[in-house]
Amino acid sequence: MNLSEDGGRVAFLAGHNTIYRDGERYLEYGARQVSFPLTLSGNGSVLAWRVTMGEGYQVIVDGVPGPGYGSTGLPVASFDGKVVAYRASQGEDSWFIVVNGKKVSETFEGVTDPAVSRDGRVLAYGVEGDKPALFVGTKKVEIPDPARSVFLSRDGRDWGYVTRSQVVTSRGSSEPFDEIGDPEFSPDGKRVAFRGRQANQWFVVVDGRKTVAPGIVWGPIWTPDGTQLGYGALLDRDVWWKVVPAN
Amino acid sequence: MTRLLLPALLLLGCATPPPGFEERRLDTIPDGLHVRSWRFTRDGRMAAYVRFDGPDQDCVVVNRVAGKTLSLI
Repeated sequence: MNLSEDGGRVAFLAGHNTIYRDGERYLEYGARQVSFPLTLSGNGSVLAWRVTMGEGYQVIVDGVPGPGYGSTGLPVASFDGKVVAYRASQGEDSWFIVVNGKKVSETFEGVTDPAVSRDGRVLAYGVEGDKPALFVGTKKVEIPDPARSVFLSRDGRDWGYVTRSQVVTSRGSSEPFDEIGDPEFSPDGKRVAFRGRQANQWFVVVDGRKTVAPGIVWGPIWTPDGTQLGYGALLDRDVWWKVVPAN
Repeated sequence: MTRLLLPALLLLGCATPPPGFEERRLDTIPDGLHVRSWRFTRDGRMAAYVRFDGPDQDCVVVNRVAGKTLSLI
């Protein structure tokens, strides 16, 4: 289930093969199965999804099919949806990055799902192997531990990644967590917020400072001025939008 | 569209958005329902989620904005 940033556009998958968009039945596959979740660009204009194709997979963007591959990750999109990227493989230990239907990277033993800056100009991904690394635009950064996911600041100038238990940026690493979700750079790209779980307690974490976040299910995200963080929470049976200071 | 593990989709929010980035309660989930797959707008004024009445229930999809039902499938 997907929502545009302003809430004006919505898309979701019904069962395994029927896509609804803005309240209407948009597309129904027969025996082919669509992967959950779909990808809706931030402005809601472009919808992408992964669907089975024989023994492999294919990524579709607004109904336009891409190449078939042995396997793929789920697509990610820039805010306007003009850049859609995903990882794909044509065989075991043979992964690469595809942007707008074209292979754009070397082949690696393994790659993370890519991240795309909001304006679509910067692409980042992590690679596995003897020397794990990040590729951020044209830059390669060697990292000590393999990345499980990669994220970028809005302008793509700052990068970060998530390992098995930590959030890492060029400025340092977080303390360990049992589970990490939704890391996001502040609007100025200098700080990172994320949700982290230790045992049964979830926290909103900024610059190593933890704030208890009961019931958190989504976020946190930064306010445009970078002074506050908001997150979605389910407390008892009430759906809340909670706000915490970022300083 | 029956027996698909399918869920109800709720899009909900405040009819008159309050100014600023404020804490607010958006909805109350009725007893006996299960929910997942959360999304919120970046201003915190609306949320959407998938609602499960039960694994063998017929499908009902409800799409609500600001308390108004937009579609019922």
